[in-house]
Amino acid sequence: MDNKKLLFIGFFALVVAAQWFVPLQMITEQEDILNTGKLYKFKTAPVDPYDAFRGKYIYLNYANNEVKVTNNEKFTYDDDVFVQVKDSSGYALIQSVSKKEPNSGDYVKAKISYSNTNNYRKTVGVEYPFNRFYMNENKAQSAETAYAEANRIPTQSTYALVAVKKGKAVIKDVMINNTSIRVLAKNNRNSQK
Amino acid sequence: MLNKIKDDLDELLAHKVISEETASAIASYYQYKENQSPSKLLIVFGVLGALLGGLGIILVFAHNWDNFSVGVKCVLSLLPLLLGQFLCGFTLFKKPASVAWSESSAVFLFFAVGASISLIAQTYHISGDFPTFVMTWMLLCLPLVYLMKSQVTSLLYLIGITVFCINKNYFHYPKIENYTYWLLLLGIIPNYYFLIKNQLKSNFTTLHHWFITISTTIGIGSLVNGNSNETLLIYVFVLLFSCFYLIGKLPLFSTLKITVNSYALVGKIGLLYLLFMQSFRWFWEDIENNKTNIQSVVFGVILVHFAIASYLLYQSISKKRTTFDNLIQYAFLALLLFFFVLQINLLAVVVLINFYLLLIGIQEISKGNTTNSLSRMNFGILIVAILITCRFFDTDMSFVIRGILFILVGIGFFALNYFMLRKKKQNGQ
Repeated sequence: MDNKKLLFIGFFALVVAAQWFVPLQMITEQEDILNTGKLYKFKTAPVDPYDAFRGKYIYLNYANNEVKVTNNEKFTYDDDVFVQVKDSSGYALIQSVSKKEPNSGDYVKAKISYSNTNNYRKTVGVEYPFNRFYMNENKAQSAETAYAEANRIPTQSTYALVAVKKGKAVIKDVMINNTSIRVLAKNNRNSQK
Repeated sequence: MLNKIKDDLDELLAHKVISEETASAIASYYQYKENQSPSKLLIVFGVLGALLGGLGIILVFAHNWDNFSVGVKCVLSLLPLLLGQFLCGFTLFKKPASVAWSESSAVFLFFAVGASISLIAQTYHISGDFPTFVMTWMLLCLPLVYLMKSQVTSLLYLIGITVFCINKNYFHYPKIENYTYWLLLLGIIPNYYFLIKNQLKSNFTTLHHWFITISTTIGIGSLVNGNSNETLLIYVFVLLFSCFYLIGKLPLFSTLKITVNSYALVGKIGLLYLLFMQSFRWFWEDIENNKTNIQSVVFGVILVHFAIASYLLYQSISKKRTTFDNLIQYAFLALLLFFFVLQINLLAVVVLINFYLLLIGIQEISKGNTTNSLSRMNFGILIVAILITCRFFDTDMSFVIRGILFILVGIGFFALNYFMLRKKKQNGQ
């Protein structure tokens, strides 16, 4: 086999390897976070029912996404930040937000959605990267309705179950009163039939 | 096509224009040529089949998606990738000469890569960054253009990087300059060069001309940030279109038909569009009111384009590719002059631009007449007609001035038609 053909085969093998590397790396990273990360419940906030479902996923809006800035850092819209979280009464609560990666504790990489650091309030809003929950389009309609209704009733507890590890986060499920939204949507659909 | 040639040969033989020996030699030559070129229909159907097959597989899996476990979802997500790579490998080792196989398998793999990444993202609810996803997808598929010699994949790559540029630069606030698009574009240039050198007249090359001119027109916006003012932006586009027009006049492109020579066509139409926009008074009033902020990146872009356009113009005139009196080739210099005149008098600029446009239109009509090109003449008439329409609806001009101008232009056209008809009659006699 001549050198040119060997080079060709080598190049093809490299391309194949690169094309496998990206999806496999995504899988291993997400599985690692799900298996070894700490689980937090992020309480969701009410959403406009016509806006909650975009295409094939539910858009998750989170409550408790505003925090007071205690350091002298200046934040602007779309800045990349690290949000330190802690467990408070069973739900995740923001402890602090910083542009520097923390050395300890549980934290999530997020973006600044708005900033009031230039006025007396000294607060910022954060947008988490785990704001989509993909669902089958046939079930999503009833899931969206259940999600939107549950968020409007204060006594209902709706939250996203998220695994957090070293700045990265993966949604495990979306729960309404400790029941998976998928199960609720399925039951809703069956009762409508 | 061979049947048509055979019919023509029979006619020529019947009228004793060529001998039987010559007719036989011509028929053999065309038969040989047809055998050498791959069936275009087969390639098209192959590519369409691959596209539809790939999309169909995705839709079937999507229907039952929620019932599968995460593990099954991951396996199903990666199956199209495996299949696409197998098909490409099979093509490379068993069917290397088949264009239909190369194009179909490469296109299938192109979509399989994108589908695999997005299905994995969906499985783990990863919202991700759309421009990053597109960039990763394109980079993973760029080697297919060279490995599989797939021109359809090359065109899809150009669409992909243009989509990346639009999402990264135009749909992002605040707008910042970004050079990634240009680095991605560099990746496809060797293939484009190969096409121009070896297959200048092929359909794929024509499509590449068009895709690259449109893509770079969209991409130029990535070099300016949200703080740049409109004056500089307009000039960037004038320079870009001037470069396109002058590239279209290079020997490599000037022999091509106008519909194939996308550089000349896009350049000319782009320049005319910008000139029409600048023919309104409000345009220059806006410029007078905006302070010109020199942004380092935009000014660098302007300088580079200006240098390229000036060099191309000099080459074009010195090597007689265009005539000295071809007005549109000076558009980028004319605009500089207009900016200077603006400092003296705003109305003078507006009059100058309108006059410049009118002269361009008349020149096109005249050249159309000289070269007996009806389409060119009509193009010239269209330029003047659009100019008249713009002025008709230009509320900044008084009715009296509009009326006088229209009468003068109308008399001019009447006279032009009269003399042309007389000339044709005389030539006929």
